Amino acid sequence: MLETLNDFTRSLGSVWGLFSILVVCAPAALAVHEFTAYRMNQYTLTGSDYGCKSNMVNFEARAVNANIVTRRCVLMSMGEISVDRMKELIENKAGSILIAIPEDPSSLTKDEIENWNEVEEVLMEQAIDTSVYFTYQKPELMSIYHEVRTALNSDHAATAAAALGNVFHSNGYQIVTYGAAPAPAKSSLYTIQGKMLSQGRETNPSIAIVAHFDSYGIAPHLAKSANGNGSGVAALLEIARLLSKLYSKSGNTPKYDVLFLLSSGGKLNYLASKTWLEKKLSSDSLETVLLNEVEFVLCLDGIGKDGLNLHVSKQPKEGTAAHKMLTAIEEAVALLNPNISVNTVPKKVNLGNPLFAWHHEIFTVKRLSAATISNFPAHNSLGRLNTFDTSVDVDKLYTHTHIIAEGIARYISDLSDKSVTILDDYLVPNRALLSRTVEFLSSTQRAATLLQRDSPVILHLEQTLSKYASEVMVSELKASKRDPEFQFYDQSETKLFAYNVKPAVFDLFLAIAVIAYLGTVYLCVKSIPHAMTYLYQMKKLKSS
Amino acid sequence: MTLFHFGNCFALAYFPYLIVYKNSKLSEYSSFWPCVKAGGVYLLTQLCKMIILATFFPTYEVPLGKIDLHGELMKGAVELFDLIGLFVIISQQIGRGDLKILVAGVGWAMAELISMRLLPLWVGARGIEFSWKYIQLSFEANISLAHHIIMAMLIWMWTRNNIEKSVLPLIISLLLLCSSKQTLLELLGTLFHFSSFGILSINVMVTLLVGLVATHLYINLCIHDNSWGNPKYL
Repeated sequence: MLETLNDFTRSLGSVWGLFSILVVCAPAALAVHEFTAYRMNQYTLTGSDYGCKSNMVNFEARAVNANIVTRRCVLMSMGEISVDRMKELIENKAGSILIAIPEDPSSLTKDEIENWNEVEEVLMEQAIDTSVYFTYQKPELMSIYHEVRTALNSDHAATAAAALGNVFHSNGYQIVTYGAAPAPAKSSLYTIQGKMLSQGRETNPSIAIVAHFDSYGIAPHLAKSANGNGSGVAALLEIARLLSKLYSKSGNTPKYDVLFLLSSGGKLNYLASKTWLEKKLSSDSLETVLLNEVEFVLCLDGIGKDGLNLHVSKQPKEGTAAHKMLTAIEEAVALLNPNISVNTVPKKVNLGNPLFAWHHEIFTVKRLSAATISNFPAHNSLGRLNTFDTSVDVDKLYTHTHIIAEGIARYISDLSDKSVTILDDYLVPNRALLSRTVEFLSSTQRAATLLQRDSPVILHLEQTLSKYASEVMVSELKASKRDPEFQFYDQSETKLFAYNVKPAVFDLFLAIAVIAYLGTVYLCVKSIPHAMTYLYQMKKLKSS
Repeated sequence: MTLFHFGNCFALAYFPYLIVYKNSKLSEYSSFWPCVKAGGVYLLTQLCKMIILATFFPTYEVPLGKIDLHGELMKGAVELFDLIGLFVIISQQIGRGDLKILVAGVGWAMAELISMRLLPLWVGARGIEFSWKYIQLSFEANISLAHHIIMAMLIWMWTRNNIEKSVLPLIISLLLLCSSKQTLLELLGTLFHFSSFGILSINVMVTLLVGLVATHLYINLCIHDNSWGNPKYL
């Protein structure tokens, strides 16, 4: 008896379960398209806003050449992007812009990448109200994109009937995100420092080797920054490895201490390095002493491509540390690869511009002798800020690393013999290690706006540097609450939903159709009794 | 879409019911409560069907695109309970035959409309996503109205004792066709990949055909049954 009752209640439960599933699932099983999209960068730096201030998307999708883009979501592919077009869209107050980028960046042509670089720089120059999103060219998205394009073309239908047919047949899409408005996020920049001390004497002069390790691109999640500055970081770690071997060699007494500094915020005015330097200069710790003795600061910024340029604030004069370094590197080039030429590029620090052009400038303004090595011929070369900076030329990176390491080694050991290398056959950069480091860095999330103390990149760099240098330390620079010099915002990654919609006029036509149909139904219902009577009488006549 | 779209679907689904109610003997004889009672019987019948399905017929995990023939047959068999429900309404109702048919058919279809279609319409047709399925759902409600009136008509004829014995097999086979119609249509969709519009038009044609045959039988019955007089039933 009890069992039957149990069975009965269970079946009742399943009945209600079935019922509720029917009721809940029926409308939920809609064919909504969903995409992961990455919002354009947004940050505040030295009091100005940069990037895209809004994340709002609840607009109907339009192709880029639509007549009206105001309060619409403009769907674009890479090929349609140009500076003028983007400016026009933003001026016309497009609600949002969704740009589909290829999943495989190697399919892009050189022209497309150059074009993109230009757009990227123009877009990031100021703050914009249009929300800009990037997403990968998934087949689902592309089918929506093509539908939106053809829907536009059918606006110019030949006849009224064709236009009417289009209203019923064509599909529109409403692009929606449910993310909250972007809010200030926990904003921190990090520096990782390590030292390599020469044995014996207490007060040695020192040199510093500096690279920024964060990535930068139009959207933090898309930035790979393999060359700028994955290559610099890989080279710095490799130089640290080689120098540590050199320092541990018996009978070798280098006369310099070496300071290694990895910092984030490389494209955010080198804020981490700048603040770190200011802090060290103001405190009376041992580092101050070490820093006061710093003879030369060498910054590495993008050395994985063709070209080797030494950027300085003024042409190095004979007898200065910069000249010594230049000579050392030139000697290294002559010994290792005479085909390469090192260009010295002097560029005065522009104190009127709050943004520094090169990493070394923050040291120069503190009266430290400094230079940046880069494959870029100028600070404003296109491609320094590039989302599609996904690969380096490992051979070039290897050669450059070798030259720089040899140059530094020559600098610190004061070798006058110009025919022998200091880094002998056993002390050469490891090509595999270099390429692995670059690969790791470009495949790991490391935009300055997203980094945390326990991010894999910081942990990895800290650990690797500890192998070669001593006193490795990670310091965090938090944005001050009251007057932040920099501020990051969240909502950099979101889900976009594309809902199939019909134009508003569709419902109007539908209403007319429904009314006509109901009228017919009314007439039918009214005439049924008459029809029945008629049939009845006909049949009766026949049967009688 | 918008509330306007929901309004369109709602009008398409509900107004024919209103038209039928207002322009038939139902309003003349103020048969509102009998209709509500018929709706109550509908709900009870559905509950019984669900309990029986859940107790006796286990559900199998069926891979998408394939059909569980055994399960479908069972579901089809359970549909026969609808006939019993309609029969109960017709036999409990006092009054003229045509009124019985209308009360059973309209009450039943109305209850189905409210319980099975209103919520999906409210949630779905107002949602952002557009789908033809809500317009189809609303139009199906109209077919369902005709379908249930025809079914009630057939059952009523079956219960008459002065009906010719020769037409009984025809009536029974029509009733079987009616009660298994939904299952058959679903099978068409899964087996032959008919589009939803195709299934809808087949549904309309089948219902029209059965309706014509049923009306024909009904008129014959009226001629046969001289005591009843005018068959003006709407």
